[in-house]
Amino acid sequence: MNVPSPEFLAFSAVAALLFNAGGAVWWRRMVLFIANALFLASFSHDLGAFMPFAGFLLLGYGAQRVTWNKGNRRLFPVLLIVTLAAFFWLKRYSFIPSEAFLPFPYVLIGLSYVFFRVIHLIVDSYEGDVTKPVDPLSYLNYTLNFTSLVSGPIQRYQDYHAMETEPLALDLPVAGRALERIIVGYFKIAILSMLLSQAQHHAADALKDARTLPESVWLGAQIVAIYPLYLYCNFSGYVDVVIGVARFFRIALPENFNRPFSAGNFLDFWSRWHITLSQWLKTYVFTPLMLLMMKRVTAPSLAPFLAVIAFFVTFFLVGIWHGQTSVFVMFGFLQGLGVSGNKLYQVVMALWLGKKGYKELAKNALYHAVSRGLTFTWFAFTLIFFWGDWNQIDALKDDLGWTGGAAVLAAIWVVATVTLALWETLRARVLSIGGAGRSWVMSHYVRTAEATALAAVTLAILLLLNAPAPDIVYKAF
Amino acid sequence: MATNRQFRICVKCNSIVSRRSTPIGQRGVPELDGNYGTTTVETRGLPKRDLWLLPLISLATLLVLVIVAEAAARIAWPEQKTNSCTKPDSALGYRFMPDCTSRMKSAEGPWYTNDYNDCGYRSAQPCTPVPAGTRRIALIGSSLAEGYLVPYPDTIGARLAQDLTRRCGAPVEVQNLGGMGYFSARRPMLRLEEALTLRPNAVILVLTPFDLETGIMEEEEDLTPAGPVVNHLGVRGRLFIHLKESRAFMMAQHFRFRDMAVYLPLYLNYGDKADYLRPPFTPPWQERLRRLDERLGQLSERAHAAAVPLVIAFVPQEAELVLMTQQAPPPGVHPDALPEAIAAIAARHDVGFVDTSDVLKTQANPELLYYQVDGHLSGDGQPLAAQSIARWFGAGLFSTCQADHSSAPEATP
Repeated sequence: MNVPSPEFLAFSAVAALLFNAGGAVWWRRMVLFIANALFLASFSHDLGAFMPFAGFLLLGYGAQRVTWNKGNRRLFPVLLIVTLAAFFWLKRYSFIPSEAFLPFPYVLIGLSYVFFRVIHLIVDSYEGDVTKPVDPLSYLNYTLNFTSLVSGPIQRYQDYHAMETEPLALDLPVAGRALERIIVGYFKIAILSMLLSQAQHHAADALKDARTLPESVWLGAQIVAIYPLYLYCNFSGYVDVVIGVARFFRIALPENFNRPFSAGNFLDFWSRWHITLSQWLKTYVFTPLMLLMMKRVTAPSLAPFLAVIAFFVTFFLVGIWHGQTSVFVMFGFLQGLGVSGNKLYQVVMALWLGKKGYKELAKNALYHAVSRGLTFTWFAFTLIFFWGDWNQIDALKDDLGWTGGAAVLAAIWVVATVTLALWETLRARVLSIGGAGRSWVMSHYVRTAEATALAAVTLAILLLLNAPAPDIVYKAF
Repeated sequence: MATNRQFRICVKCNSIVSRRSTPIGQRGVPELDGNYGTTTVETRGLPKRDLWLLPLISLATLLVLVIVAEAAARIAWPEQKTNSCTKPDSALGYRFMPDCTSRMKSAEGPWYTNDYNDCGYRSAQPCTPVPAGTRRIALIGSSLAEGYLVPYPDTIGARLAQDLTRRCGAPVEVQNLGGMGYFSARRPMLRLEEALTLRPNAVILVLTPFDLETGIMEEEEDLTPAGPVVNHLGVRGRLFIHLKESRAFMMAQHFRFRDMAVYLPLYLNYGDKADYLRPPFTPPWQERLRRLDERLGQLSERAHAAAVPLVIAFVPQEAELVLMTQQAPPPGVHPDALPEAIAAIAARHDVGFVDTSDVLKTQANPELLYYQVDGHLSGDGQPLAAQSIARWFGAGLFSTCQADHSSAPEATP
């Protein structure tokens, strides 16, 4: 069952009605469990195909129970490594010999996100952050929660459990906002991401026949610059839908995006893009790594430089998590390079200008706009290694050449700087209508009209095109 | 309480110093919204007035969208279906004015010009006596024969003249006496009588399933509009009429009907309209075929008396044609049933029969040969129908035309 489908909405609506039909915690937990099981079952009719997935869940549950509250200090690292190894093995990472893989097809949907939840649960249970032992039903409902199984967001167990035992209120305003999220999400996935994807494919097809350098640069810029917008609409649209749906189950899933293209630098960007993943990595990779390095290198003046290394490792892992092939190593390298380079730049600038001087510079509107444009350009460039395989990247390089490639990036930088600055100005102006804190645009009257219009337009276009909405890109991870 | 946890590292003390928690879903507390940034959840519930105001806003928004869509559709897809060259006629209901020009447009098609000759026929040639060495064909029938909504060079009449002239190596002209509604009641006979005065080498009656569905069942002679029907209809009926007239709705249908997975089931569920596709024929369709038999008997008798061959050119409906191209049509559906029945009737009366679907169905996307909503064969389809008719003439009636350029009628093949 695809998330951007009428079937998913109908399924969620029925499940939510049943969920809210009874007020008892046991009833809601059972309904959610059945909904989770049915959703997962929609991906295969072969029971055997679920066995590896079930084995992984069992391993995770056993590991967190055994090590709960520092229960077994020796076993903790072993179980952590075994869980990691099991994940790489099941995901068929290319560094593992293919002979070692299971010789039959099996369900992998959402395994990456289940992995994040399981590791978090093992670590937090071990550290005593999970105050009570996790019962099997809570564990299954948490790890397999159908609203966030496919592509996140990654919720903390503690947050989930709090809402499981003390469900959030679901009154008319809350339901209205949840519905609005679902509508906006579908609009982003079904209309915006579809149109952007078509535009990018159209430009890619036309590039082969481009005759002049300006024509190549124009088409190349479209190919490179449209993809981040497409990915944003696709992934954040999905997140909007699942956040909205989860709210009907009295669960508030964490936000995964916070207007990422408004970010003034690449570090800021990653605090606004796929937020729950970068937070997970900061918590379970960056922070332990920093602490480890700071134990060895005690000089406080070197701490910022240690952060540069820790940022590189963390975001390199973000990159390689996305895929099992060598092109994702490059993607990870570029993410790491971007974030660590950004951090190093900040450290050097702070040393050169002084913290106050650097802060003053960062506040400068022109400097901020140019940085924002550069952030977008760098992200768009790194994404070439996300959407393309080596053959496609070689073809793009051949079609553009080094000069064309440089011109493409320069053009994107200039256009992104101007466009995003105009967008931010326009957004601020529109939001200021009605006065501070009482924005007219944010009133639920305007938002009702906006959501109605988006729903009508989405429905009309989907009916006219008679084609399913595009699938979620992150489903593949 | 649900929270979002964040770590901070204390460089000096070399440890994690805080775990900042942000509450979720608490009224009056700022929280992150993925689309709007940080927002504050309103502290109060909905005021009572919002229970009717919000639905009203939704309805008003939908209304505005509908009006905007309709206005945009009317600007993007203009339509002019009224022919300014018609004048009332006591026998036919209406008639095209001689030497008149009008401009028309289907919303789904291009603007085009109707030029009527000195007899009020949609033909490039005058209706004067046939010049020596020229063959003349008279085309009768309803809107499809007329070339309704299609530019003249793409009409069956114009293309047929062109194709046959090329095949024969001598001029062949087509006098087009077709007109919308000219297949009902006594009109086919009146048109045939008028056609015979032109001394044609052959008369072609263009026939579609729609002519049988409606035209042949009409006995009334009056073709003038029936007046304000809308007033006699209920709310549902009025709504349906308005919906049918909506350009935005028409545009939506146009795109939806391009998908045969949508269009065919809809058409097949049309009841009586589509029953000709499912033999044995229902009583209403048996009655239609009986009337056709009777009418064709009269027409052929008159044509034979004038020693002019009469030919039926059958043009299928869009759904019928698409079904003909399918290797396995739905159970019980036989798209060739109607042309086969008409061919048998034609043979009984010694009338020639051309099934134009033999050429039309060879096209890759036959549904694109029609105006999707209007249903008429478009400027892409009419030349193919003409090609089919020309091929039939080339193989039979006009097979010897290259050697024999006389204007004498030939025998029916």
